[in-house]
Amino acid sequence: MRIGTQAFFQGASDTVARWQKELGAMTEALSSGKRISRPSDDPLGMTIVARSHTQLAAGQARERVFEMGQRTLRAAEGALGTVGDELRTVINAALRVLQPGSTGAALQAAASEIRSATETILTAGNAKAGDRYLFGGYQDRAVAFEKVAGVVQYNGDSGQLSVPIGSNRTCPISVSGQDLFNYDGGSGRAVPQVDADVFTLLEDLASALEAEDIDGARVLVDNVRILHQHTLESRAYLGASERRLQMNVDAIADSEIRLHEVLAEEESLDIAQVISEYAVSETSYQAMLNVLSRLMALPTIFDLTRY
Amino acid sequence: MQIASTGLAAHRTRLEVAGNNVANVSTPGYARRRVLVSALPSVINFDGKEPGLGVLTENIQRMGDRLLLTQINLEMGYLGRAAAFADSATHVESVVAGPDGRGLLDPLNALFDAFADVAADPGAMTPRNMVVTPAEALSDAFTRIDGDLQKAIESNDAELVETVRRVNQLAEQVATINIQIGQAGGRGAGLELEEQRELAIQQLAELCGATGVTRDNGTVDVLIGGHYLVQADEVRPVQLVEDPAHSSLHTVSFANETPPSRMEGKLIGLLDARATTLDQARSELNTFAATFADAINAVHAAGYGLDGTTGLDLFIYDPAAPAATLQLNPAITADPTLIAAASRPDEPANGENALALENLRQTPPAGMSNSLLDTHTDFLAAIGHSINMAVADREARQTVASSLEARYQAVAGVSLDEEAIALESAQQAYLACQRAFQVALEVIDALIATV
Repeated sequence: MRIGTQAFFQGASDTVARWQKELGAMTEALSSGKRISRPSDDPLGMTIVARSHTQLAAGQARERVFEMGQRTLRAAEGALGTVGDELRTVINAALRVLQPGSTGAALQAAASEIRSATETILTAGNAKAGDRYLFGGYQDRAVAFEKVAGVVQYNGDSGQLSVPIGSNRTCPISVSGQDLFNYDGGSGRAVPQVDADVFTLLEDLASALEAEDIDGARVLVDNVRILHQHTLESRAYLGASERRLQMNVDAIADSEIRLHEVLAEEESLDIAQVISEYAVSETSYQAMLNVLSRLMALPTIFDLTRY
Repeated sequence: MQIASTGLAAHRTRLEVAGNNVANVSTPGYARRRVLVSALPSVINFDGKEPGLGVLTENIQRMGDRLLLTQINLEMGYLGRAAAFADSATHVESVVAGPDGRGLLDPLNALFDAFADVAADPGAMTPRNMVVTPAEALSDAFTRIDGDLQKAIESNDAELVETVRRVNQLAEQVATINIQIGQAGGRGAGLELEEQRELAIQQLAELCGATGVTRDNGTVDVLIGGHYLVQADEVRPVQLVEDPAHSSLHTVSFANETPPSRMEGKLIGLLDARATTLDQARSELNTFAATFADAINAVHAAGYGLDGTTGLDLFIYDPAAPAATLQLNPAITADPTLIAAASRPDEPANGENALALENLRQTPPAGMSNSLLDTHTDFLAAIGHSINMAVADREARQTVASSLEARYQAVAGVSLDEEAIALESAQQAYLACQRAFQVALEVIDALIATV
């Protein structure tokens, strides 16, 4: 096919433009490190990348929530541990003096020790994690237990602090004080065989010892033992929650690894491959420029005629 | 001497034509010229022979190919349409998807992250305050994209107006050249005028899919879809009228059709882009804004704030322009305790409703088959897919147009080497004729001297 001078140079110009466009696209990809920078780069790949990013974001949000939940759980477990220890102290103190031959002074000392343990339990019952009262149920911004006229009142409700772990699924991170300390919220007590809350029970026990009512004290100690067991069970319950939360944290970590693999596959550039392709293209471009420059430097007959 | 002088004239013309070809090697639309010569008819001389009377310059032929030009113009119409559409589609992608190609996905995820933080500690003020920032960022993003699409539509309209002006200007140019060629005596006269006219028609082809039909008298009529744009010296211009779908925008009217059904070129490409990418993108954005707000509000209204308030919308918008007007409820901006995190009243640590809000990240709202983020992802993917198709169409048209142009240049293009040979040939012939003329003069001088 006959090629005119303008057509030759236009063709050369078009070829250079095509190569520059290809090299420019590679340079842009290398500078961003991404294979997909806009939807038109790969619409299907973009949907996979977008959904992976959404799942990653959801997982990272959950992770923050789980970490907060774990801190709250550990605080609640610690408080329950204190409650359990103090209840054990109460039981031991009472059993010591309920042996035959205990003096009145010993009984009084035991009563005093029980009241001291009660104060510690009250403090533990009002334990906080940050600004949240751990055992107030859903009323986590108000003091859970308050002594009014010598009687410890519960200001919370039967709600259970929890964190979301999935679609419409939650994991408890505390227990309500109503259940823990056996208050009657209107639908019965958590431990129905004990017809009193912990604080009332402990005060009754201390009073019985002071009054040297040994038989009465023995019944009350049995109830304390039951509530102590209930506290241990609550602590075990929170322990199971902590394990469950940790499993979810681990699952998220595994999921993140998988999602990062998907993103590496779909979104990230294979830098080594692109660099080697770029090197080849660059060499080809330079060779093409070299050839073009030689062709364009070829003289026309005008240059060779003897003028 | 007479014979030599005809040769001098003819070869001088050849020199001029070759020189003109060289001078116009880069002139757009220029087709190389060739001199057609023939021997003058002989008469019998005193010797009873027919030595000939010299050479006659018959014509200067313009080396074009009318059929190829027609094909080129046809293809330029398709290319103009495809290029205008592809350019608009690419611009829509940059507006909607943004510089990172992720559109609204990041602000949406940030909002759902904030809901998750509220669900974890509903009674605390910090996570509630942190809902306001991503909510405002999201509404700003909606407003920005809608505004940019509006600007793109206005820019499309401005380009349409300018293109119609250019079409009518080129049509006037063709009509003027038709008059000039008619005055110059018809076909074959004014080759430069013909080339200007061809160039104008090629530009019209790209702008509106026009085609040229040559008459016997040398004038060219320009038609669009079978209707005259230029008929000899008369122009029937393309009109701009109000777009019935957008009172502030224009559309094109020609030959009593609005828009013309058989027009191609950039004009139609711009109208296509407005209807199928710009308008559609804006419509989808508004639909998504309303759907998003309604889905969030349905869940939020069912929950309770810290003070027991219920039935409150989290987002408000004007149904006539959801994307442009979407914003966080000002009551909630002023008092984040109103964020309905709880599923029951008077339970500050109840975050079940905030959890339900966060679930909308990956769970389809009631009545939908896709989650909100998946809906937006599919929207972005559809834009990407349409761009790829538009760009592929444009490149295919470009390839065909370039191929046709190359074939035309093979016929009409100037080759400097060929013209150099032609110049050398014409020069040597001219010098030879000049020598012949000189010899004839010397012969006559010798005869006169003899007498």
